[in-house]
Amino acid sequence: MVMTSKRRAERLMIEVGVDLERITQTFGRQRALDDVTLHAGNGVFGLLGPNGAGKSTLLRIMATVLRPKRGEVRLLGLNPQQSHELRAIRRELGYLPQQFGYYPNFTVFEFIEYFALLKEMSPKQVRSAVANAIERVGLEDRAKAKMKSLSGGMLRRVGIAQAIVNEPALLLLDEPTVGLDPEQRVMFRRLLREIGERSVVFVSTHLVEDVAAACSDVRILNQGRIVYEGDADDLKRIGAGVSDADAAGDSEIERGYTAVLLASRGGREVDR
Amino acid sequence: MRTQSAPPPPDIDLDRVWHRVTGDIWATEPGWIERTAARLLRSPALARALVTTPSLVLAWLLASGLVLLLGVFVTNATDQPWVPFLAPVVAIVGVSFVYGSGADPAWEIVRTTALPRRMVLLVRVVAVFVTNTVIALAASVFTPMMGSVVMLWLLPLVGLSMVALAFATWTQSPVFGAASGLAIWLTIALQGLTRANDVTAFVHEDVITGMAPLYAAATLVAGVVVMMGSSGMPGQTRWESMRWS
Repeated sequence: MVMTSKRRAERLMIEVGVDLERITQTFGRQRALDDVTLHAGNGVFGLLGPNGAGKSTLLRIMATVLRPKRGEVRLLGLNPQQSHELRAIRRELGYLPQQFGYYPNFTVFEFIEYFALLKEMSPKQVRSAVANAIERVGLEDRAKAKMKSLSGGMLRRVGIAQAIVNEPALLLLDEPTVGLDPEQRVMFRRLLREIGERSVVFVSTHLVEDVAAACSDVRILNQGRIVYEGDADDLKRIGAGVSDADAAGDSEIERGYTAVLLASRGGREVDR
Repeated sequence: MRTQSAPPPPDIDLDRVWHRVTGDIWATEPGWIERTAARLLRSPALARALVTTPSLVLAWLLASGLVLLLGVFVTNATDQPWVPFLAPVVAIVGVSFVYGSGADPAWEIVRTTALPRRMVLLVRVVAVFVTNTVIALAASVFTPMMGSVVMLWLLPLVGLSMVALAFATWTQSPVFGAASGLAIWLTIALQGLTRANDVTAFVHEDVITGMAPLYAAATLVAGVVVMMGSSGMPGQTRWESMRWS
């Protein structure tokens, strides 16, 4: 979709970037994030890590759902602690949580349109933007279907569509490919690369091959800390340099991933 | 002879035209309530948020109507003010479920959108108050309790609903909000039970008049709590945002 010139002008007034300084988040006694620092400009960033590593918590902080216990957050050059800047951030935000709730009696179009309106998109642009989002996720033939009639994979695609409907400058996706078949995953990776050319995209996933195919940069989290920062090719090189005995995995990038995790658990850094 | 279609003029974005057409085909036209609300509120987003209020869906309104209809029958049978007793009950539960987790299945996404929570809350609360007042008024017409209608149930309806909303906003739990409001109302009712062996004994003009300042104060305090609790990032009250540097 061609961005309108007005939208392009609005986009230039915000910085496309995320800056997190020494973020710590706790839930009771459990430390979900521990002194995490992260800076990102436009591109697609993969977040990998085992269950409970802190990926979803990090995404929720960037989605302005959670306020961190300590640390500084700047999103798109703006401070989410200021209410008018928070509102500006949220106009440019797209978020798909891991647990995705929906309204069963809404049609696909109504559901995405609802969120387009809540994101304060211009009413004149809403319908065409929603139609475009539906096409981009390949749900044209289900646009008027009720949400309760959709399969799990289709629901996930609707979730992706509502996240991208406002052409967000910051797009956060938590496990977006759950339930998608291989063809849909290929289409989704293409969509991510396209959006990443002009936006900051964070994708949290367990599927290492999705990260390899779509992400320019990778962060691996373990026990609330970032234990690896680099690009996917670097991770593959690490995987190529370890034996099967040292790190499990069916591909070089999977072996690289497990090697990094094993090294972090042993309190050391992996050789690059 | 081979024919070839002419290319589109350079200033026409065919994709945009296509999406506008398909958007119009796939869209559901808003109903008259939403169209009217959009004109009054001057915001299609707020109007859509209003008509999607969880406690204003048809099933919920029917349930509220049935509860008050039951109150009409019992009032006429026993000559006790059951409609004024039940009207705040319906409103307390309705107001608690206007917004937030527990009421909205898509809450995790809704809370990240730009439309100010405070505006949505205000619009929905007013709509629920008005709706419940209309239903209760309609029920009161069929009982002998019409004379003192404002004093009998409107004051506790507003006061206790605001208290329930304050609890729901503060704890981010509509169930806790509803339970708190109902608990207070039932505590007041129990006083009537212990004094006169009648749970509706307190729903009389002189009692409500005496408690009017208390209901007014509760409404004000609860309103402040709700405003403080619905600003800033979710999970963060105004006080927390002021302390945080």
